Amino acid sequence: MPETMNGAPVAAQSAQEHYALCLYVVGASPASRRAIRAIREICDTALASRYTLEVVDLHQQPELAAEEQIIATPTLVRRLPLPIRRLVGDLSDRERVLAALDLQGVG
Amino acid sequence: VIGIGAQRQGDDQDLRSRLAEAEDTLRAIRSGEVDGLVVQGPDADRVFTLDGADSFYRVLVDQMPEGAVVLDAAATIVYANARLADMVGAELRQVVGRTFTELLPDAFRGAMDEALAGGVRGLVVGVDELSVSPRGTVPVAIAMRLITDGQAAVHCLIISDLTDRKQAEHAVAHLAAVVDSSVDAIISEDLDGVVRSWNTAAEIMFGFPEAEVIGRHVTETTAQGHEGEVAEILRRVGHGQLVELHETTRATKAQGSIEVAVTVSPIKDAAGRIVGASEISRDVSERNRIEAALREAEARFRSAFDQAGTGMALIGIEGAEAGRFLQVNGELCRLTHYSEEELVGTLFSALVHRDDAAQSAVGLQQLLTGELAISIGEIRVIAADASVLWALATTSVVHHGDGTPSYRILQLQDITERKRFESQLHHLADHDPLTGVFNRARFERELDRETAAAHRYQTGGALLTLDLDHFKQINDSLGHAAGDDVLRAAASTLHGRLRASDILGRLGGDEFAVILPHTDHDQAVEVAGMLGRAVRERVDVATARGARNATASIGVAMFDDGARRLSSEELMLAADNALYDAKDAGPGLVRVADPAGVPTSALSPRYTWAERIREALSADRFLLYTQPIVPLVGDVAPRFEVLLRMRGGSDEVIPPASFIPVAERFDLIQEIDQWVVRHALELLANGTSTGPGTCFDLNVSAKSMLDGRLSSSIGRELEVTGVDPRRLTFEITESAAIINIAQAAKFARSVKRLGAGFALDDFGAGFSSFYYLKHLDFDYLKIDGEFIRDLVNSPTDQVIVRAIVEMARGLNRQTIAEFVGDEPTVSLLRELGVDHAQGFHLGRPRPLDRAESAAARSATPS
Repeated sequence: MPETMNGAPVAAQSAQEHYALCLYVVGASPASRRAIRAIREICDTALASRYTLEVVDLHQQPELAAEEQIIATPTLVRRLPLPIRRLVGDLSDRERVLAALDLQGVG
Repeated sequence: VIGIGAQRQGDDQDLRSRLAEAEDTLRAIRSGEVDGLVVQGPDADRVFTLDGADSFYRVLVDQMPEGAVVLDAAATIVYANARLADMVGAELRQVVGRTFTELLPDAFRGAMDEALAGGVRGLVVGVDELSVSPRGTVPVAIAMRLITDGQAAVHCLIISDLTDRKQAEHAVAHLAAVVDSSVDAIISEDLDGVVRSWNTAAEIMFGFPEAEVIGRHVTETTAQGHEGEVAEILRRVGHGQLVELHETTRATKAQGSIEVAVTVSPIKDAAGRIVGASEISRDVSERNRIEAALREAEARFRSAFDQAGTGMALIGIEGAEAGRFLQVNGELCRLTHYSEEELVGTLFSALVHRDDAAQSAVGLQQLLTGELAISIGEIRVIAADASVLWALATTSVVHHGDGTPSYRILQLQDITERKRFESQLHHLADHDPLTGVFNRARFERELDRETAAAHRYQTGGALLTLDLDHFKQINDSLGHAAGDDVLRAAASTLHGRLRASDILGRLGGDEFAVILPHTDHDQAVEVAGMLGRAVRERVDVATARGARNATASIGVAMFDDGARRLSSEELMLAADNALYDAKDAGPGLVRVADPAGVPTSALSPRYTWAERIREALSADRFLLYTQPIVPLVGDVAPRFEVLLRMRGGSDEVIPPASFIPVAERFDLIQEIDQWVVRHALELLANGTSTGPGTCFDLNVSAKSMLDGRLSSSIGRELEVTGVDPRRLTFEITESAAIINIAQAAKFARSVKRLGAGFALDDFGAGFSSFYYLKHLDFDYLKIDGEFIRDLVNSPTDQVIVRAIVEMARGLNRQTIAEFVGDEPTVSLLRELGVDHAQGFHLGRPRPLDRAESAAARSATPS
């Protein structure tokens, strides 16, 4: 059975799930930097090697905003597992992010 | 329904979740967590950033090494970064606000205007030149993007400076040109031996075009069969070593091979790692061929030098080596009896005979000054055992590249044998073969010299002529051999009594002569008397009744009688006159010529022999005798040797020995020869005393042969008489041929051209018989009587005759034996294969002339 970084067992429901995440930011602003840092930390600790993470700079690819109905940045989108979830704003509150991703109890 | 309910339930949940997301978004915006908002525009969404989110981009663009510029729709520069200003060579504030196309060279402006007007949205890349002042232009690549900003469109351009890249490209192209123009094949390969580059010279040298070898392993093409060698070279180069001028062979496409010197060096990348090998091959076939040819020439010279049949040596020229042997061959050691160790370092001049040293030194000097290319001389070399070697020395000088002499090459050819032969020939030409004293020709030269010297220095001198009394009787009664013994004894006795400065000669027959230089009348008479006594005391004639003494009559003539000086011819005449006086007075006497009686015959109380001969010629007082030449095999036309006699005042028949020597001395013999030819041909023509088809052998004297006129008179007589020339054979004695071999050969040719035959008489009497055979075109060899007389009893003579016959047959010539005295000799000659024979047994000489012939015929029954 896979283990988390702190050795706690992963919840049965999410143990085998693959997470596809996408983070929308604009440039290298302070909020963007904080968001990228926070989500890398959560992925590495709570999802180990069973995730993919994309980071989209809407300055360079504004056309991608419409596809996932992004209206503000930073926004984290959970594409998998379904349903799609969006989380807008600061990601430094770990519990809030875990909850939004249905990963309570893991970290 | 359940389905609908479930659907609705799902929709509700989605809606709730979306509402929650919206609330969350609002919360985030309100709490300032959001820094960007996406707003839907008419064409596309636009992103508005808060909180200076793009300040980092600005820094990046301002500082980046590419030029960046933003143009409005009219191509006015609204933004430019520092790098662009730098490229253009202007202040940034001078750039913004200008029209971009003004910065371009004229040639590119149109294209740029077109690109801008065309509203290109995507990326346009062009490698163009940007016009800049004051440095001229720089090569650039331009990336262009159109951005629509609400109301207006702007162009964003990124401009890259390609100067460095262009320079690198030029450098690469230059390098490639250098490599390509090399006459050496330059190829590169990776460390596995796979070919990566291949220049033009390599294509020419190996025949493989570049396209055929790139990517292939070298051992598949030029290095076929050299797998091990290539692997070893690559291993060493892989370790950073340089393989320099390694000589090997490489294959060509035409299945040939080429000799090359290969230099292989490591190729390193920017980080210094060895990634491959560059291989420069130089064609050394030609050089190797030249070197091989040089080596071969050297070896050939060495072997020629060592194996030469002539003595060879290299001799130094400069410094301590000057004149010393540097190198000698085996033959030189053999010739000189010195070892190689003894010769090397020794002066060549130490081996040269003292008398030849000066000649040798002169030759060397002429060589060194370039006056002579080659110096040839005959020198005497002293061998280790003190023996003297005659050598033909050939010397040439070998020069350094700068033209200064390096050493000389000496060749010594042993000519001792030739010298001995030559001196023997000289001796033969000058000496009487029977007695070893001077012959008449040499004696007359000596007389000329001595009289000239005596007259010049007024020293005086005397000429003695000496005649053995009754010699003809000795010859006739005791035979030629006994006569020869007496002549030899007389010569030896006279020689033993004379001073070293006196000169003795045999004038012919039994007549000798002596020159006494520095002698006055009384001394001459005394010497003459002394010589006469010596002959009487010392010279014996062995007769059937026991030995008796020979005697000599002597005539004396003084060089100078005080009133006038006599020429050598006058002296001879005077001495002869005195001799005949002495003979008339009785045997063994001496008479001195009367000065008043010289030289006119009118004053002389008696005829001289010369006058008698002249008279005989004018009065036809000569007689022709013939002696048959008998074929020993087969049956041929009757053939005779024609012999000459003179009729004396009282019609006595005088044998040739009495008048021929005088005739030769006074140059009357040519006339006699002409007389003989004329009469012999007349006889053949009218055929009265000769049978039809009769052949004649005629004797020709040495003087006629030398004279050259005789052959033309023969031709004339043949024409007048109409005699078939094949009926004539002309004989010349070997001793006559010795005097002038070239002239003898010429005479033989002219006779043969006329159609007559040529015979070499008295063959075997001379020393160098074989030498003459080589040079004379003869038809018959007349074997000297010396070998025939005692043939039956002498195994030695038989061997010699057999050899002569063998040789003549080998040359396709015939032989004639003379002096055949009996039938056993005839049988033996036939057995030995001699073709003809002649002698008393087969037929004595008989008179032929008109009146004489009948008498002779009755006198001597056949």
